[in-house]
Amino acid sequence: MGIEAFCMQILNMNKNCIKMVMKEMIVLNERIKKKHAVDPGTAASLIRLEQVGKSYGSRKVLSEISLSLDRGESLILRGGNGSGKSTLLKLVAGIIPASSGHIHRSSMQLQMGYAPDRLPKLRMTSEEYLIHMGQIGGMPMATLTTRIEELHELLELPAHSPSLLIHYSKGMLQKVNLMQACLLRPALLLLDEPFSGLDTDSSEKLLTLLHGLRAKGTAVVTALHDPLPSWESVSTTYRIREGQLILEETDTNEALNAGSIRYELDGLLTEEARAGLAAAFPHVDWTAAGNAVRCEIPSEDCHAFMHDFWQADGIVLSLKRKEGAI
Amino acid sequence: MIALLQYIHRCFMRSYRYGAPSFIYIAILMLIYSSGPNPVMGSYAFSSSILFVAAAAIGCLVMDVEAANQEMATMLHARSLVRLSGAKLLYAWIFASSLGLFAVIYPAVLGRLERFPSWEELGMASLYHISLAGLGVSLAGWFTVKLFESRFYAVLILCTWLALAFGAGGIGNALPEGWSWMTYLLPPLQLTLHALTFYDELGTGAKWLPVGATVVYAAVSATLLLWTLRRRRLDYPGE
Repeated sequence: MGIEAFCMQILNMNKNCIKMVMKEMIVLNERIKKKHAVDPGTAASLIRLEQVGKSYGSRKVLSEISLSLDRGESLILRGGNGSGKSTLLKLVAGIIPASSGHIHRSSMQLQMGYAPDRLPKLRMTSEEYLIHMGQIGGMPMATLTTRIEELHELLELPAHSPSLLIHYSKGMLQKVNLMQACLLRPALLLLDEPFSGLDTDSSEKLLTLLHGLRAKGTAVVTALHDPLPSWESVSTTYRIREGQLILEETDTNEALNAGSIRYELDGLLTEEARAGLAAAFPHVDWTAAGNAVRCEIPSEDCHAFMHDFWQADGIVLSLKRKEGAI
Repeated sequence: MIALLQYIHRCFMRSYRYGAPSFIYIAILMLIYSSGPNPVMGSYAFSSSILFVAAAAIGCLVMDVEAANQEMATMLHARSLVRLSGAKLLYAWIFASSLGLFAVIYPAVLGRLERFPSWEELGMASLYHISLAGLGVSLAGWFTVKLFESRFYAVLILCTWLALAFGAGGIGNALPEGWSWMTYLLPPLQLTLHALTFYDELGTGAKWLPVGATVVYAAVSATLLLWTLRRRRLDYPGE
């Protein structure tokens, strides 16, 4: 196989990945613009929390939480163990009542999906369980069957396995848990530690699923412990500290302003084209050996740079997102 | 509602929780009817009182058949805790009623009674059993981990409440003058047992009164329970 054909193969493989990253960046930009242009809690909000608090006896878990969530928006909740992440998710889902404040939903029939931190081991197959959940949710049987197979395929779990959930591993149970939450294509999806127990491949599959749902307008709230740059880049991150919800936007802006989020591109580009691009993008760092190039692209230039790179018949071998001080 | 009932049925069957109360109940009936002949309505009075206890046990087990996390997910799919809990109460009632019908039909068909009961007796005995099954289930719904921090205390208080229902007559007699009305707060079990024991001596109204009283008491208990659960939602006291 010639180097050109090899590169073309890699290029095709990378195209989808790059498209996804670019799409995420566009959405991120739009979100940041929107955040500054629109007041939170507009009439279009799917759900709006006003000064919501939750106490258990004398123990105050959450206090004065105000939050609004629109269609297609993604929100990450962070915080230590017992900080109140799961409690906030349950409040939003309406599973538990608030001790104070108000929760407004856009509709009484707002379709919500909820994946608790773990699903118990049931004496049912995953298919049986999901059919029950779908039927309870009012899904027609034909649509339900297709959807169950689609989700099993996406998360790489055998759809017609006769094994009961009691014999499933933690990761497999978590997949079933996530499938039940996504089953009805909810308008609002609430996930408590969704990546817990999943291997790298499954985490990527889940991310694909979440990106897909979000693109179709599903608002997603995830309680997370571990860093997840791909999801963070399209989400607003909040931290729960001493019962208060603190926006982590400052860190993100600082990171963007300081240029600490960069993209590293390995590719092939002619020297002529390289000179043109270098002039157009003075903040991009270049390392070159013949036609092979490595570019360090600041986050804010990435969209335009990639566009011009393709225009100049550049070939992408890999594109990585990098965080941290330069 | 049918989808919820099917789901609860599968959960309950696969959990094998029905085993202990059903087995004990059926074993007691078989033991009692191993010798005969037995009086018709007197036997039904005994089986209905046993069913009342078995229904309470079944009610507790069905209400708690799902683990907390599982119930949260189901509630979101059902879009209402009232619908989900209502379905659990209904399922427990249907299950307990089937045990009640077994208690009515089994001795009659196998000839363990002194004579074959009349159709009226069979019908009324079935109604008494079904209404007491509903009463037991509606009471048991209160004594679960949804409203009690400790399952032990929940079961202990349920047992006390059932014992008070059995002893309502005696309690009424022991109370000071003017306080006997308090027995009306207790489950009307004694009305049914009295009607079955003295069935032949009672008029039509007195025969139907226990069914009406039991159904009303069970309906009020179940409605208040669902209202309470709607307010509390799945805010488990143990958390």
